[in-house]
Formats: sequence, C-alpha cells, structure tokens
Amino acid sequence: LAGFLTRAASGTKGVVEDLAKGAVESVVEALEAAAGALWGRHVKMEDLEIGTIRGQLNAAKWPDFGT
Amino acid sequence: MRKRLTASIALTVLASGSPACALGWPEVMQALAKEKSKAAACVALLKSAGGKKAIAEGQLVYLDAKATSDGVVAGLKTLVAERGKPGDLSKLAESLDTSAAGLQKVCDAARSAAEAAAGAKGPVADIVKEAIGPIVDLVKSSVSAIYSDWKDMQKIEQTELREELQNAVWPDF
Repeated sequence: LAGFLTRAASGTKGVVEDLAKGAVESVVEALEAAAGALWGRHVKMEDLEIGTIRGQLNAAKWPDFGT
Repeated sequence: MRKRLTASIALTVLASGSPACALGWPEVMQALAKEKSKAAACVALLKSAGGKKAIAEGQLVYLDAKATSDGVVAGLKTLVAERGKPGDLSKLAESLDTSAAGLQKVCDAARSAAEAAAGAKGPVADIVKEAIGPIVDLVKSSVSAIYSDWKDMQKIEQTELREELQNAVWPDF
C-alpha cells in the first residue's frame, strides 16, 4: 500500500494503467464465466428436450404386420 | 431494449392464447400414439377375422403405409434436430395423408372381415371404426404450430442479437 500510495502520489502513469487493467480483466473474466455457464445450461436443456422427443417419436412407430 | 424483449414475449404469449398456438409436441405424440394403436388394432382384427386373400392384400397395403409412416417419424426427428426448415411441412403433410389412407384401407378391410364373420352388425372395436382424418389433422396442425413458434422465436432472437451487437459498439473518443 505504501508503495502504491507513493507511486500514485507521484502521478506514475503505470499505476493507473495497472489498476484499470486489473479491474477490467476481472470483470471480463466474470462475464465470460457467467456466459459460459448460461450457454452450457441452455445447450444441456435443449439436448435433453430433443432426446425426449426423439425417444417418443421412436416409440410412435407402427408395429410390424407379422406373419 | 429489455422493454422491447418483454413486449415481444408478451405478444408471443398473447398470440399463444389462440387454440391453434396451444398445440405442441404433447399433441403430436398423443395423435401418433392413437394412430399406432389404431394400426395395431386393425392388423390384429384383420389377421383374426380375415381370409387368406384379405390378409395378404391388407399386408401389402399396410407395409407400404408403415414405410411412409416411418418416413414421417424420421422427418419429425430431423425437424427436431434442425429446428424446422422451409418446405418440410408440405412433404410431411403429404406423407401423413398417404400413410393414413393406407391404414384406413387396412381398417376398412378388417372391419368388413369382422362384420362378415359375425354377421353384418357384428361387434367391432371403436378404435377400428374411429375415423383417422381427425387424428392426422391433429398431427398436422400441431407440427404447424411448433414450426410457427420456432419461426417466431428465431425472429425475436435475431432482432435481439442485432440490437445487442449494435449496443456493444464502443463510444467515440
């Protein structure tokens, strides 16, 4: 903290850049993780729904005439 | 943006209040299950009451109708996997009518054979006598409703995506 305050007080450009970069990176990472989780859940639900419908359609086939 | 999405969803929900839009996969499955039961009942009746000639003729008609019906099922599975494609519906409806007409012939033959065997007014199960037209119509209208819903959802999703992308453009310096 002392180092940060010293550099900040002296108006070092690098400190401000580091702070801004760190904040943006953490927000972007959180957004990426959230979007990934949401998309994964959406795909899983759709796969489940499609699987159920396909199973029901297979069961809807007419029986063979037999001999 | 969010207000517009809410409005779109509200419109979709309101539109789904009409009887045609209330149809979906449960109705398709219900109608297909009914058609399958009818097929099983008619085949069983024809085999038990029909003569050799009637059975042989019925078998040929049934095989053809079943092949078309299997094609309908395969078409529906593709429709599910690809979430609808233009032109699919007319072919599907045509195949549904063809397979239903074949099944109706088998059921008519079974009914005639059963009535002949037990007298003109012999008992024939309701499922054999039941008209197949309404069952097929239910499949057609349900698939059509599902298809329309997909189209509506695609339109909403595309509009939303376009707006999201426009909003994502960085401001000028």
